[in-house]
Amino acid sequence: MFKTTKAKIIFVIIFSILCIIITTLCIIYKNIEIEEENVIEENVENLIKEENIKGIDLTGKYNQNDIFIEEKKATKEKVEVSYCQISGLKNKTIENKINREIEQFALNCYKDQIKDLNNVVNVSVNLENTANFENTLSFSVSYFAKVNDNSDDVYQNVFGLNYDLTTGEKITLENMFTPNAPIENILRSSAYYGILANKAELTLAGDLVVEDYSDIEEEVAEFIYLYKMGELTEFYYNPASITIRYDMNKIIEIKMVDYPDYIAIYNRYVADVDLYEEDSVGLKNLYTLTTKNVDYATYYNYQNEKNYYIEINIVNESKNSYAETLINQKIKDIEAEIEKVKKLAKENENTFYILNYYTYVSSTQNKETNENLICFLEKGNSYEMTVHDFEVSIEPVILEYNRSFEMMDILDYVYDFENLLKIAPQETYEYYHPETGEKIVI
Amino acid sequence: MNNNRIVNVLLIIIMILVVIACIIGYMYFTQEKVEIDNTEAIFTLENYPRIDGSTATLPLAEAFKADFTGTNLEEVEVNHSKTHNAYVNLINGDTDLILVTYPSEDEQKLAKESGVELEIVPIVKEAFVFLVNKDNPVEDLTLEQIQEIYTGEIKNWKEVGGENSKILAYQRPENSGSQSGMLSLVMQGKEMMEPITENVISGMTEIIDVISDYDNSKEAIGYSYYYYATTMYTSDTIKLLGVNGVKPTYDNIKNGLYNIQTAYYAVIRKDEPQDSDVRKLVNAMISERGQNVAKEAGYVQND
Repeated sequence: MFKTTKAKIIFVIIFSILCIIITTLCIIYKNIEIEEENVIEENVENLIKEENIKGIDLTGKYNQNDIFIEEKKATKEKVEVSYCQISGLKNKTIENKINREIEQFALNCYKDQIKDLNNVVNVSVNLENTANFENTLSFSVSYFAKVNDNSDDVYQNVFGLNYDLTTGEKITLENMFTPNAPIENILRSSAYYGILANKAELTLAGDLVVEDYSDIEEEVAEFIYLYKMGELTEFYYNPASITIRYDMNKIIEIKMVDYPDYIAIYNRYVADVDLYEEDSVGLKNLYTLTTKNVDYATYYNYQNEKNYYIEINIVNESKNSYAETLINQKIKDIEAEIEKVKKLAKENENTFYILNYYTYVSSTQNKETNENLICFLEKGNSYEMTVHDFEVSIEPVILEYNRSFEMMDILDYVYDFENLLKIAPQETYEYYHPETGEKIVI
Repeated sequence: MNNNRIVNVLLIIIMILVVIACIIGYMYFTQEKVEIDNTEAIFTLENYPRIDGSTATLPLAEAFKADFTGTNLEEVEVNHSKTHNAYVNLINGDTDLILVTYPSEDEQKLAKESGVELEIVPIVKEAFVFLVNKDNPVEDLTLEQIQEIYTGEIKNWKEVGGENSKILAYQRPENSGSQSGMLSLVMQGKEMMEPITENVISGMTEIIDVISDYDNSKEAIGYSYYYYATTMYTSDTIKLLGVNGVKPTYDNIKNGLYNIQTAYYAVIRKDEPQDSDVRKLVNAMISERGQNVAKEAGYVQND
C-alpha cells in the first residue's frame, strides 16, 4: 500500500495523532458525562425531597397524635427512675420497640458517667414527653446524682429520644429541617445567642450583662464543629423549639418561629394510613408553634372548630377531698354548656362562639371566722361574633398569646379580648364549706 | 528488502504502543482517583507532644496527629481549651505546643511575668474576610469603602454599586477574635460606629442586650476569619467579598494577593531543647508533608 518508507512513517504519525485526539476527546466526553450524571442524580433527589417537605405554615394548625402516654416509676438500688410508656398505636411491633427503648434508656442513661453506684448518694432519672404531634414523639431525659452529702459535686446530663411513629425509627437532627435549610446558619445563630444568654451575669448595680465576650466565637465554632463531626445527636423538641445538648449538659435552643421555612417536623412525618387505635386522644387544631402545658390541669377541654373555640381548664390546688366532688359537678355543668354552644354553632354557621374559662380551686380561710373554706376562682367569659371577625381580629390575639410564653410557664389560657370586643373576662369567687359542700357567702 | 521488513515491524510496534498508551491514558484519566497514603508515622501516640489550642485549629491539630502518628482521623483524640486557656496552659507547662492566633498583649504580658519566652512559628495562613448574602449584587469593596461602612459614613448599598437599600453592618462582640482582627487589620485606628444590638432572654425572664449576630439578610454585611466563614456558614447562602479587586480564594490567600492576612501559629516555649519531640513536631508541621496535611484539612498552606 505504501511504497516508500517516508509514506509509511507519515501514515504512522497521522495514525498516532488521530489515536491521541480520539482518546483525548473520549476522556473529555467521559468526564463530562460522569459529572453530569452526578449533578442530575443529586438535583433529582433534592427536587423530590423539596417538593414533599415544606416548612411551617405560621397561620396553620396541627394535631396532637392519639397516643396515650402513661407515667411510670421504677426504683433499683440507688436509682429512681420516672419515665413514660406509650400505647394506642395500631402497630404493636413499633409500639413495643419504642417502649422497650424508652425503658432501657431511662434505666441506663446515667451509666455514661456513673460507672459505680457506690460513688454516688443516689441517682434521679426523669424522662418526660415534650412533643406528641404529627406522627412523632419527643422525650427529654435527664439525670442528676449527688456525689456525696457533703459536697456540691454532681453528675448530670441531658438526652433526647425522638421517634417517627410511622416506622418506629429515631429522628435525627437533620430530619428536623427541610432539605434546603441552611442548618449551619441556624445552629450558629442559635448557639451564639444561647451561649451569650448563658454567660450573662448580674452586676452589683443589678443589671444583667455579658462581661466577657472573648470566647464566644470559639464556643460557637466548637458547637458547629461538633455538628459537622456528627456529635450533636442529643436533642428533643416541642411544637415551638428544638433543644440541643452539647459538651455534656450544655444546651442550646432553636426557636422554630425564627426559621419557620426550614423546620420540617410538622410536615415530614405524614402517613397515608391512620396509625392509631382511637382518634380522640390528642388535642386537635392547635395553632402551629404553640404548646399547651396542661399537665398541671385537673380538667382541660380544647376544641377549635369551624365556628366555635372552646378552651376551659380547671386547676385544683386544694387538698380537700370534697373539692373533688365539687369539681366533678363543675365539669358536668361545663360539659352541658359546651354542648349548648356546639348546638348553637351548628344552627348558626355564620356566627362564631367562644367559651373560655379558667377555674382555680384552692383552700383558704375566712379571715373573720378563721373557718377553713374551699375557694373557686373562676375567670373567663363567652363571646359571640361573626366568623370573619374571629379570623381577622380574635384569632391573632389567641395565637400571639399562645406563642409568647415559654414551655415552663403555667398559664390559665384565658384570653383578654376587651380591647377588641369591649367585653372583659369576668372574675368571680365562690366559697364552699370543706366538709358539707355548702356554699358560703362572704 | 530486509531493511524494509524491519521498518515495517518497527512501525507496527510503534502503532501498537500508541494504541496501548491511549488505552492506558483513557483508563487513567476517567477512573476515580484514589489517594494512597504511604507516608510513614514519625511519632507514636505515646511520644506525641501534648497539644492545645483554639477551636479554629482543632481540625488542624487532629489532622497533624493522625498523619504523623499513622492513626485514623476518626480515632485521634485532641482537646483544645480555646485560645487564652491554651496560652495559660503553655506558660504553666501544662502543654507542650499550642496552635493559636498571635498572642494578645495580655498573653504576652502573662508570659513575661512568668519568665517564659515564647517561640512563635507561623503554620498556616489565615485571612480576614467580609461576607454578604449570595444574592447581594456587590462583589467587591475597597478597603476604604469597608472602613467607611463601619465608621457609618457609607449607609446605603447603592453608594458602593449595590441596590438602593440600607446597609446592615454587623459587628462582632468586643474582645472576640474577629472584632480584634477587624480593629487591627481593617479599621487601623478609625473608630467604628455603634454596633447593632438585640435583646435576648437569659434564663426564664431576664432580658440582656447583646451584639447582634450576622443574619445573612440581603442588606447585611459581616466579617470573620476565612476558616470560620467557610466552616460555620452554610456555604451556598453566603458570598465572600473581594477587597480591592481580589477575592479571598484559597490561591489568592496562599500567594498573598488577598492581603488582609494573619496566620495560625505553633507556639512553644523557647527553652525547648533543639532535639526535643516538640521541635520535631513543629518542623513536621512546616514541612511539605505537614503543609499538605494542613491543606487537606481545609487550611491555607504557608509559603
